[in-house]
Amino acid sequence: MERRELVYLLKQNPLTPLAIIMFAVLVFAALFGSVISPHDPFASNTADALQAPSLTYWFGTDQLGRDIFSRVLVGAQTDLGIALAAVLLAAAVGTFLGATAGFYGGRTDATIGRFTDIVMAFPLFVLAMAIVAALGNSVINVVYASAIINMPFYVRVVRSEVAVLRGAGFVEAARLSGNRNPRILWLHIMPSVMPPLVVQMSLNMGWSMLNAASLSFIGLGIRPPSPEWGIMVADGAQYIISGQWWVAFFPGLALTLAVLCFNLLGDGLRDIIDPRQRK
Amino acid sequence: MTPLLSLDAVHKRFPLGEKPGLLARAFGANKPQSMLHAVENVSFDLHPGESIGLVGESGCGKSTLVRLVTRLLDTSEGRILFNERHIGDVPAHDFARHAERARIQQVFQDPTDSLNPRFTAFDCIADPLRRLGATPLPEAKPMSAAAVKARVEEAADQVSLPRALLARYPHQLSGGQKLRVGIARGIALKPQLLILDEPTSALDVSVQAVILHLLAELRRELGLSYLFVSHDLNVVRLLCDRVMVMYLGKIVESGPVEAVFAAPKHPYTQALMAAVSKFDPDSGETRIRLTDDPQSPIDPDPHCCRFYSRCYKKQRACEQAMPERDGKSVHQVACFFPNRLDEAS
Repeated sequence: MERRELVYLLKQNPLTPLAIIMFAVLVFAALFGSVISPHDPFASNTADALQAPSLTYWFGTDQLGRDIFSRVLVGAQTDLGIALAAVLLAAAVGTFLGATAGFYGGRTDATIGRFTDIVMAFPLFVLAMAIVAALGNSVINVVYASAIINMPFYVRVVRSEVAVLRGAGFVEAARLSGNRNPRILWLHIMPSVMPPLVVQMSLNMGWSMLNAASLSFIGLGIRPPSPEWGIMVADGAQYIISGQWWVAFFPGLALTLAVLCFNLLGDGLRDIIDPRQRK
Repeated sequence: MTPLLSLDAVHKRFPLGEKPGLLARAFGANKPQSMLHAVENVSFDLHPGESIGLVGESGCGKSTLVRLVTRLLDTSEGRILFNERHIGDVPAHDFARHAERARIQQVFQDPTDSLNPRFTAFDCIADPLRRLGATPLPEAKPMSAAAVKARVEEAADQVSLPRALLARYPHQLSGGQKLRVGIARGIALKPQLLILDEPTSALDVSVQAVILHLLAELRRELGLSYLFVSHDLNVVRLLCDRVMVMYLGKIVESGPVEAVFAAPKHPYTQALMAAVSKFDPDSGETRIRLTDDPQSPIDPDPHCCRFYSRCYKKQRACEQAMPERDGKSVHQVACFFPNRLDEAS
């Protein structure tokens, strides 16, 4: 893509550069949070418990006197990591199923379609609790639950794209060139499916972070004392009434901004990659 | 001379609607499924170096017939011989690895749709070479990258596509250039039979002429045989030795181009010829107007001429038996009353 065109597109939607900056901050925090954090996120200091935000403790301290700013910073890694793992897993499995359903059609399509419908009928929390009850309360099981919940969206996006493209002239031409079905599907059709898939993944990242935080909020997956936004909000919830709003507010804000960032980024990517959907 | 391609009584029928379910079958709902007769009883020979034009209106089964010949579709009935080998029996999904795959190639109708938007022109032309290209017997090894590159450049030269354009993606090429890429892909494997499915219909007239000239030249230089699908009769007249006229799945008339154009025998062909735009509007020729709707290709009456509903010289005999081409003469027509134009009109 031309550089001028990119600049034009970014000017059209000024939220996209903002989302890119937020994304950069988020990734930086996830990668270097433990190095740059001003305090040890685990060190409790009961003398300084429940301090309001100050120059020493930018976001205040929690009930054990731990620095909330440092914990929010370090928590980015956990939430981003879980969300990324869940999205990648969901995208991989969902793409495979969706591409197979869209390309082969018929009974394969119907079977995968009904299976997807069943998965979509499960609420996240019920499924996550079932998996945790069956397999144990671990981070990886929470990733599985989140991935399963998100998978149907990938199946549907990829299926619809592939179903349209399989009738294209270049697919027929590929057959005449001696390509058989798997090669046609994965090497000829899939490159054209990647842009909407990437957009879907970006939009999905936000939801996935929210899922990870929600599950740890109710005590699934990540356990205290790990710095994680969902747990921190859960911890802080009991202090809101007594006036220590900062304990729940700052991790909640971080979560909100992260989800917002991915949603804006997804919209911006869609504008850039897929001009048809531009408003 | 043995024909390069020979079709013998080829039929293609598509089942319509849902297959009867388990319950329906268990309770003996024995309603036969409706069938769309897309191609019916088509026989013809194509000799090496020959060019046959296939004309007919939209939906008459031209494209289905092409897909049967390129072996992307399986026949319902009949035999297809290529180089005296039965290729009609090979299931379409296995034909990709068949030895004859490389010898039957096609240039597609829509040059935009038929080039992968994510492939460069080079990759589009190289794809068949990478899959099917092989060194000469007895080694028959896959082509090396260098050999593929050399052949792609040679093919680009043959279709007068500047080599500098090979690195471009389809959306960076013009319609004529895209079509040249499509033709280069079609000839890359040095096929014996090249099927051209209305190759010029998406181009404007000035580019059409250049491309038609190129196609005529390629055929002469490479000794190709063409099956040229078109609904532009003038193009067929220019490029083909023989012409076949198709109507609702059947070939109603076939013969040398000059003979058919000079004296069309089937009423449909006559109407088709009369509809060709002429330079002189006052030439005095009367235009034959076809009235009524075409018959349905779904479960057609096997004992009624397919053209019956629109024919201006239909007789009782036409709805009591299906006229067929005689199969012996050079200029064949599937009509009981081929010579009664004057008295009928």
